[in-house]
Amino acid sequence: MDVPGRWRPLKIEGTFSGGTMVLGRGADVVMQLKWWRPKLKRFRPDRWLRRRIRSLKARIDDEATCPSPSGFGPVTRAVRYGDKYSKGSPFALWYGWAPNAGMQIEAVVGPQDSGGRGAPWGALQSLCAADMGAPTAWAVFDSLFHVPAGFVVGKYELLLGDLSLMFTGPERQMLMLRQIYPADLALERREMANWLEFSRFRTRRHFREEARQSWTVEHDGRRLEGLRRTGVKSYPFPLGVVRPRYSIGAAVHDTEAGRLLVAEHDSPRPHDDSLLRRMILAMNQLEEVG
Amino acid sequence: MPIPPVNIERRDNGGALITLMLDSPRWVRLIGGKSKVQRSYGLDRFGMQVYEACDGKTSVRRIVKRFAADNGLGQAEAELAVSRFLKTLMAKGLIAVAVPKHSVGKGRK
Repeated sequence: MDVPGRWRPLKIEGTFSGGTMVLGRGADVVMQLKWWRPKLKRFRPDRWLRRRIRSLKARIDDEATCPSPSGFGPVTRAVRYGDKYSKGSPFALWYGWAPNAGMQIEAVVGPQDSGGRGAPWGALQSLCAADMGAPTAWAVFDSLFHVPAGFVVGKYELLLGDLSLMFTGPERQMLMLRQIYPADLALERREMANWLEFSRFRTRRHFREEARQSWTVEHDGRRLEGLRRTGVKSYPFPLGVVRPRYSIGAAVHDTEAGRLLVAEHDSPRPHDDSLLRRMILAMNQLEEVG
Repeated sequence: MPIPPVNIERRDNGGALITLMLDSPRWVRLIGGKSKVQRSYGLDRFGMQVYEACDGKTSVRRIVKRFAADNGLGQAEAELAVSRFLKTLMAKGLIAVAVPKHSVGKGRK
């Protein structure tokens, strides 16, 4: 979604299956977006929408122009009166069903923009949803992460200067992507090997290192140097043999961007570092490196 | 605006150790402790950029813009980082917000 430069996310919470985002201008709320992915195979968006509008005591607004972003199936606009926060003015509601993403979106626009004009409606028109099972891009401030198809965000820890995202993939795979900046300050405080060891996400499995070596990734004149470690993650004794995970982690220093790029890939089966290499090269690039 | 420090000890990496003389908590004074206490805070080079920009004349918006430009950050990220850091500086007593005298006490009778 393209939003004006002055807008800020005031609150983001939730997961792949459902969540909420509140957008605002300064501290003023402009719009609330809710997304969720119905699990029912026989989910009928039209029937669901009728029930939703009835439960909210809203009414469908046929006359108003309704944003219809590409990739969204039936879209509906409604208004809701009588809310204690609206002081008599109506809230505008927008519903869109993205069939390829399997996602239902509800947008609530405040009374000041409920007339059908203004920035929130332009932002809704630019909405796009990634198809289910397609590679996705995750942007946090000026950092960009690309994730291969089938990986779904599970946990995240977004601190200023230290952004970590954890994805779960098919066959119990796990992918952790992280960017730390400014890199020179980070390396002053902790060596690269320690950044690689220190994860924001705690797991019950203990890591047993098998090898650690210097590692370089190179693509299109871009050369990033760092470290790679391989090993096995397993539960403590006596459960050490229960579902061990083969883990490869790598950290490189992107001197041009002044960032440490860290990635870790766990899988129940032994694997190589090709996915890590792709993910690290794709960080902060507009397109995923093939 | 900054609270005048007792000493600023600059470091090679661009950071500094700032020493201030602060009022002791009331309970310390009640049990006969010192009325003033010396506190030192270590700032890295990014912290010093913001601290030195607080001169009582530069607006927060301008500090954010300069911080973003100097460190290659986006406006939104710089805004969040600087505003949080300014709050921390205020909580630690390194800076204070100057309030115009005529607005003090208005609304109270």
